[in-house]
Amino acid sequence: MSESDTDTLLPGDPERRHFLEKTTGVVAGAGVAAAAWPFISSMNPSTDILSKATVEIDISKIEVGELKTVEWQGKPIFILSRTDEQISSSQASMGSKIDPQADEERVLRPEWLVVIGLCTHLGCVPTRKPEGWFCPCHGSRYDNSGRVLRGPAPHNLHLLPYYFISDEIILLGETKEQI
Amino acid sequence: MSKIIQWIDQRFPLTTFVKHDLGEYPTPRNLSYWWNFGFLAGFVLVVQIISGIFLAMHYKADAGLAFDSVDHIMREVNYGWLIRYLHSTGASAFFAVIYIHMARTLYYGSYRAPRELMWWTGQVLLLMLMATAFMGYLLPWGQMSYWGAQVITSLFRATPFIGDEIVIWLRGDFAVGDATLTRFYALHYLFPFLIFGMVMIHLIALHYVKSSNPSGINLAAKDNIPFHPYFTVKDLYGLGLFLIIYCLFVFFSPELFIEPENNIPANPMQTPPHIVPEWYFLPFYAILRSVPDLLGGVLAMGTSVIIFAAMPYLDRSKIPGGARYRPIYRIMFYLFIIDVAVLTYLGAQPPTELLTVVGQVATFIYFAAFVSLPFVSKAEEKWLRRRGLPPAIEELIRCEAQERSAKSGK
Amino acid sequence: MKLTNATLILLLTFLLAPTQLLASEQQALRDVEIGHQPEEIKRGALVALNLCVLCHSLKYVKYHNLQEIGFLPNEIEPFLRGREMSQGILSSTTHESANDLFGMVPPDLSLMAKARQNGPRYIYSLLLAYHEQENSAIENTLFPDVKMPDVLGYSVEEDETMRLEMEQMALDVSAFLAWAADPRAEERRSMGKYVIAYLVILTLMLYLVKRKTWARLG
Ligand code: FES
Repeated sequence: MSESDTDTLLPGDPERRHFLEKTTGVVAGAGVAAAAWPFISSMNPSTDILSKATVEIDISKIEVGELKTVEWQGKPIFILSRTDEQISSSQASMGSKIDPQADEERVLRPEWLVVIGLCTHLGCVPTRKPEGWFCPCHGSRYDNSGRVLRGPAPHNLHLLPYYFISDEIILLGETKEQI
Repeated sequence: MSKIIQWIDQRFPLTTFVKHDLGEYPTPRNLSYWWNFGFLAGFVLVVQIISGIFLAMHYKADAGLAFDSVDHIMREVNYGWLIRYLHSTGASAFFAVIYIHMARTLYYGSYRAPRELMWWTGQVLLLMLMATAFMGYLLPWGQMSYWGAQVITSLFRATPFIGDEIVIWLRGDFAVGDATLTRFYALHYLFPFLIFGMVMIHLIALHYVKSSNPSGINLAAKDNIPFHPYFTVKDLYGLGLFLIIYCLFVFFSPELFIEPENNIPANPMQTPPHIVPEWYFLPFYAILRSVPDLLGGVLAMGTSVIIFAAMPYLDRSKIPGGARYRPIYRIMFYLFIIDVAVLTYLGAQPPTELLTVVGQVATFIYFAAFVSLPFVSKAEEKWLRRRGLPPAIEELIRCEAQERSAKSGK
Repeated sequence: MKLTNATLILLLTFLLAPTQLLASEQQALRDVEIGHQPEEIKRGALVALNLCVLCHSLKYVKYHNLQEIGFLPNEIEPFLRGREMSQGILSSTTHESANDLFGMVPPDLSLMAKARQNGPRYIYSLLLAYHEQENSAIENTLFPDVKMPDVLGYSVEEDETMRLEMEQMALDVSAFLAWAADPRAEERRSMGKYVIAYLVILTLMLYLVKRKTWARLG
């Protein structure tokens, strides 16, 4: 006996009669979707990884003009102690027209540039050049504010939350609530 | 959409398959809820594979890290506790479902011709399931894991001549160690997929010989109904009931299936005061302990699992429907179940003099049930015939004989 | 439905066999309800951090986990002793000196409440099972071989209020260790209620669909 047989056999509107089946289907489907969530969520960083989301970095030993690369959340972080000359040239421009941005928006203190050291194109680590950075993978260039000068990278080097605990120590991973 | 399906159908029997094996597949109308457990077993297999894969993303198969990584899953991985408890409870659920599935087959005589191959592939599935469960139990690397593996691998010492070499080969070390853990992990990940393949064979056989049913023989076509929607919805309803029980354990009593000792990291220098296998191995463990000889015990235990395969030959009665129309067989069935229950209880007890004797009696009854079956079933049939079978059963026997001769004539 | 009875017997034995076995080891435990309230757990944590941690570690419990039971970061700080918030709680005694003292390393307590049958009750009973013998030696009646001394001093205390206070401490520590062994228990139980409620509704609906579908067969 097929569906259509019963449809003609039974009185009433078939649409209405299938209401129960349809609601059950929806309820069951919602359950399956909800059951998938714990599994998906289990692939996100676990709480012990999240609790290590911040690191304190001692910057007192970094010479002026020197670049220090540290690890934060598994990523290389560039901490550049900029010379006066680098500061003034960075402040003078808005980068390129790929992703124009003022230098002030990219630093908390002009002497320190803190950016994520991953090329915004496909994630290689750019190498240090006097005028900024150069990505060995596909040739993107960045200035001393981490702004992209030449593609294929589509964005400036990404910023990360950080703040100065003191003049010697910065904390990566968290912005300070207003003081 | 229909174009795509058409395109596929010209190259692959998609629609035919869905229609033939899922939709219209003729299923005996009179199946009771005892016929739900095959589907449930398939469902638990899927749950175990999925939860297992997600656990494997966080687990570390290294003697130095395994215990810590399980604790990490329990405390720090998002919903890790849920996934692990689904998996550890799922193992017990799997055996519970399979044992009921087997009990149903025994009760209704579903192993009889032409379903011997179904019964035997099922038997292989049981062995694979046992192996998988045993290897998985080592992975948390707790005290019970460790000593369970140590004891069970030691059983292979009973192999004649090369016993010690076999044990060392199995372990990859002189005692259970890191090498054992790593290989158990590799195989524990592999086996479920072999099981999956075997399930497919089990199902192909099923769709060839069709479901058995409480009356014991294939019904005439008029008593068959399409699988969909009747049995899809019945299976789903059964699944709902199953999930309620399963989730009650997972959420409210998950530690019931984890020995307290297993929350202590493996210590090769100290055996826990009392080693108990998981509940699903207890009857076989009790049989092992009942025989006061290593080789004898191992053989008895192995036989006690494998002997089920002989059922199609041990049962010599021509009366279909298993215990349904056969009072003696029914009594034997219940005695056997009670005997297994007694063995289960004994398997969990520390051995005392009295309990050892009880265990030996129970072991004897266990095997006696199988050994006496050919004679009992023959005698029972004679007695029933002398008493006069109800015409309906005579009819069933005639149908079955006809069907068989028609099949062999083909 | 005779098969039902058989299956029931079988299932019951499977479930009862392990419980039966362990019941025999349970006689000596004190009958007490271990609390789940955050205040009790926090009080117990303070006892544990001031007392137990002198010898025992709780290495799977990280210091920052204590925030889950109501500690503020500055309340945890005094217990850090130079360790990081993201590290596990270690004992103040090194393994070597503990070994010299007791002839063994005191066991880690993180999972203790799960490593014994009826763990929290066991811990509570153990802490209060010290008795002074006639030769004024102190013995633990629950676990005679235990190396741990009577840390609470329960066996020699005569003042009734002090004894009650010690019992409360033991109770709090047990509550804390129960939490430490299974910190997700609350989450699990509350989630379980919703899951079961959902499944009951769904199953009911499936039953109705099933009944309706089969009714077509007449
Ligand atoms: S990754 Fe840097 S240019 Fe492509």
